Amino acid sequence: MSNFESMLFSDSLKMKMINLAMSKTFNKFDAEDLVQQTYLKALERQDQFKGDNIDPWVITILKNLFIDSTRKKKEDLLGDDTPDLSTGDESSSVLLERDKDKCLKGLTEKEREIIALKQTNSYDEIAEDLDIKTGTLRQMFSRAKEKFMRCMGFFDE
Amino acid sequence: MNENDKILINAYLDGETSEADSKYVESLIESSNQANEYANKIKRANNEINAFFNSSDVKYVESHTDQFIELKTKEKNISFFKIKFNYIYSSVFALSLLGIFIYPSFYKNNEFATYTVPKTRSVLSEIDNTKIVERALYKMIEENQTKAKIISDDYEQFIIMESENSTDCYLVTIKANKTEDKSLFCPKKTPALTKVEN
Repeated sequence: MSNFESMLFSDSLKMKMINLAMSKTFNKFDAEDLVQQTYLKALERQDQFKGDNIDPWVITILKNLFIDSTRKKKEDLLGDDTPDLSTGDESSSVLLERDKDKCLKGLTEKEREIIALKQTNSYDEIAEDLDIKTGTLRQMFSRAKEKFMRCMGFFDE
Repeated sequence: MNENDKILINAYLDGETSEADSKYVESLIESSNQANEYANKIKRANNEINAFFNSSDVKYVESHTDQFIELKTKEKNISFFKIKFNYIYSSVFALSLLGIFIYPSFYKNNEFATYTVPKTRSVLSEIDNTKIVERALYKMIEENQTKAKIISDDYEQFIIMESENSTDCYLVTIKANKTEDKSLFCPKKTPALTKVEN
């Protein structure tokens, strides 16, 4: 395996990509597609990669592919697997899951990205991957969590 | 408690504060009810968010990504793989063209739910057709269908879900041109689809 492939197929980058893809698609099939298409695109364009940290480069590919796939979404006749929130007669745990999804969807793309990356990385690493200053990142985390908590109704109790 | 305190509490609970900041937050949480309540709410939010990223859906994506990586690295190691695969794929394409004309009329399209695989996934279909079939099967269960037709760019497959046994698995027949395979589809297992020997 080449040095490029070792970096590309590392466990840490894999988990970053999976968490990012889930935070964008909220659907395991679309997330799986997005991650795999990112790998294929990165392999195809490996000559364009310069530097020693592959993660920000791959993350940019993933984000661009997601934007493209959102544009093409209407062509996808396999449909949107996101559950319909309006149907009733469901257990409270299912409703809570859906509330959680809805509240995460209510965050901005950037807020979801930092939350997804925090699952496996430190603030400094996230700041480097997304090219954000650490101070700004701290503020974003605080705001995103507060937005999420409001949406979940934690402040109403 | 001001905005900066909230930012510090968040960072503290994420394990991202210096020693001095950690001491400040700890004393704040101890002395202020408001700060204490806020910290507890953040902890709850963190738990909910962590649960989302540790869900079975994420595990599913992880396991399929591992399979993909394994396949891609194997593909690199077998020098003639690509040429060989392209040859097979071309043959499948030729057979499917033939199939359009000779396929038995028994399979009337209106009896089948039709799923079209978009062109964006055609690259993946080359790599793993099982995944496309699996997706259609999940969709069939969701839509309560027993028969389905999958159309990719140049390839058609018919799926008939025959029965459900006691272990939450389904026996399915997958027909494509002249081939017919029987597989067991267990939606809750990984891999979900396993071929049954004839």
